[in-house]
Amino acid sequence: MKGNLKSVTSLPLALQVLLPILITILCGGILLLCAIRPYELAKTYLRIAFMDGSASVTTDGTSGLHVVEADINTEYAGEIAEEGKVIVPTYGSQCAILEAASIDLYVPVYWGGGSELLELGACQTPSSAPIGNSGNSVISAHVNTFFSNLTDLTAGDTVTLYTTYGKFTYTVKEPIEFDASDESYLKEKEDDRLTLYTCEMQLLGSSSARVGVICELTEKAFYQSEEDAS
Amino acid sequence: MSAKGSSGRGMIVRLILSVLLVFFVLGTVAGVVGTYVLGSPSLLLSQLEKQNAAEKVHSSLQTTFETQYNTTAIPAEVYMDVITVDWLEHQMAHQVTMAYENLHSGKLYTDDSLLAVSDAVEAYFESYAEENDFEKDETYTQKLEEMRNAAESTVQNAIDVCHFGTMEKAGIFSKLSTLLQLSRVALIGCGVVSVVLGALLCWTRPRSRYWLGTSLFASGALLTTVTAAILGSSAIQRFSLKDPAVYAVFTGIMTALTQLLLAIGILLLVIGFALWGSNVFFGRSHRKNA
Repeated sequence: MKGNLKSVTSLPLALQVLLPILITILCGGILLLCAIRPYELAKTYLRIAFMDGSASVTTDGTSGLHVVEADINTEYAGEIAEEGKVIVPTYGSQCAILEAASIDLYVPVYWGGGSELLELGACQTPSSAPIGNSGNSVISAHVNTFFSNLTDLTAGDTVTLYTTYGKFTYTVKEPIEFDASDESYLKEKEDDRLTLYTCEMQLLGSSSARVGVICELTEKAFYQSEEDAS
Repeated sequence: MSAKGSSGRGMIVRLILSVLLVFFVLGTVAGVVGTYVLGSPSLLLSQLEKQNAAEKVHSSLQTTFETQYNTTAIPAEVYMDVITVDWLEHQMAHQVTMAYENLHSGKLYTDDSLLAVSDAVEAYFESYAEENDFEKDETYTQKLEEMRNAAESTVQNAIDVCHFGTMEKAGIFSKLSTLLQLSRVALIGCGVVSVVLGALLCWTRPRSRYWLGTSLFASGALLTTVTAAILGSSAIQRFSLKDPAVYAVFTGIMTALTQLLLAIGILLLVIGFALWGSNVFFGRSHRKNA
């Protein structure tokens, strides 16, 4: 009974005082380690949500760039066909929505480039093949926002592009890495592919290396019903 | 010997439970805050009012439309006669409330609340066409449609200080619903476990408030230290956001949340210290007298 009643008060006073502090430090260290990933995620999402504070989507002619949003239906359930008409977008307009469920990626894609569009979403290089056309469609985005976990894509993952005229499904084939001056991955190709790339994340300063994936086209589904397409 | 051994083991078990209780208490706090922020628009609505967001947006739109006059030839008064501060206040509150009501669907619901703005543009076009005997041909219709859409879009972007539209386009809005559910689970789950662990630490023999006090002290110290550091270093004010209304509302919300967490942290710290201190100092004197 006396032994059972022996509690923490039997410990030296110094230890009794130190224990809460030690427990605080231990728990603080564990929380710090566990909080790194959620912190990075939260930072990315905050940046995406609030980075385009002054972006304009009007066609008022006050700026040189007309950014046009498109109402793209990602749940089209009408008739589809393997062949159809590709609509080539104008510079600054939204041409697609890019989705990669395996890395929780869902981002609008704009036709063009530049800092203003890159703040709004991913950008498709205008010199690349329009989505649905034969050739190499090239899409890029900032690594600290929309493409923060692009390199988590592995071979076999599915990437989908939704447009106003169809849905195009790709399978990741291989990861790529190249220097900014090397345009070989961005050039026209004979096969139907999608090239996604971004800057390599570096701790200090910007990197001249580019990283990404090549995806091969596995399914084309052109919408046949115009009413349901958007 | 065996009594000492079992006493030592008992103390280790309590130490482990005490550490676990720290995490579950913090989990409960996270659940409370998450449910408070995502379950009800009250925080956002109060910050919209406190930061005078409507006045800032009004001023910003006035400047925008005055600047646009050189290219659109539509005087700013055409818009601003409709876009009053009271109207903006109502629209912003309406949009925030609608966003929360549609959180579960992951899709923002849009209605015709901005029709007044495009109607004002249409009325101006009509009076202009009438005064100048301008035929309402295809060019007129096309230009009118362009300016109506541009006006609605400009006002919508200005009103959306919480950037729900951007969040929806980037697929983030749908994640908020998941986060709300997780917060509720954390609140209930961690809350129940915290109570059970606290009861175990307090009421199993030998009865002592020391370990419960230690856990609450540690939780409070962690919360207080982090939030005090954030507030003290003005980290929130250093966010770089271009729009004054967005900056004011965003930093206002972050500051309010940080202050709430600081208050909770101090409360836990005080309660923990009281329990711990009473056990250490009064417990010792009781033992000496015994």
